[in-house]
Amino acid sequence: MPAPYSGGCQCGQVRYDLTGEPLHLIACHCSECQNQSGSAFGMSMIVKTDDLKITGVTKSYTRTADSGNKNTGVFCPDCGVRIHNTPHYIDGVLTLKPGTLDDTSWLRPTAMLWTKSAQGWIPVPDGVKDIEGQP
Amino acid sequence: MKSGDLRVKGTPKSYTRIADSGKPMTGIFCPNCGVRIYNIPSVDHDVYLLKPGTLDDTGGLRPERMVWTRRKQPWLDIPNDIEMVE
Repeated sequence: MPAPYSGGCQCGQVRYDLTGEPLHLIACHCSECQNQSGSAFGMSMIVKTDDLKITGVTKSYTRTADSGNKNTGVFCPDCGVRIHNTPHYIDGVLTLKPGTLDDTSWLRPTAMLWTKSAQGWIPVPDGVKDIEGQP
Repeated sequence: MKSGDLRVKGTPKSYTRIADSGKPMTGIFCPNCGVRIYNIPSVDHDVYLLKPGTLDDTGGLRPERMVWTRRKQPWLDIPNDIEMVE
């Protein structure tokens, strides 16, 4: 399915269009992704910053990872849903939260990260790379 | 979980949406980082739906049932002993 792709937060106040193809898609079982998603793992779609056009009001929150790298989460202030993270240590890319896309049926991650901190009930599918920690 | 069993500190914000069923569902989240802590279903005021990824230790979690699997992303494999509800 070719770009553009559309998506948004749960309440609809924030909407976006992704105008280019994603660069990578991964599922991450690190404790931070579990905490942020409230779930078993988080998904991150690496996209070019220039390809993401956001409408609506967003709020941001910056944290420092264990590595010392800073990462800014951008979310809807009305419903809290995280739209993307902005890593401060790589120029020109964002990590979009792909569960916010209107159509998620075509998503296929290529790797599962931080499987050493996974909850343990989710198998790593055939053809998906199993990476124990940070790649 | 029973609503009386959850003690929350801090100042959460709430957001209410109407589900496909027509019933309201209220999400409670941190206004500073957006993380959802729990949802309050309108059908039963005695239970909350805690988002368990926010627990400090998630190592022992294992769901008994996976629901809405017809909307599931097809790459995700579900273990045989977890009930699937379409």
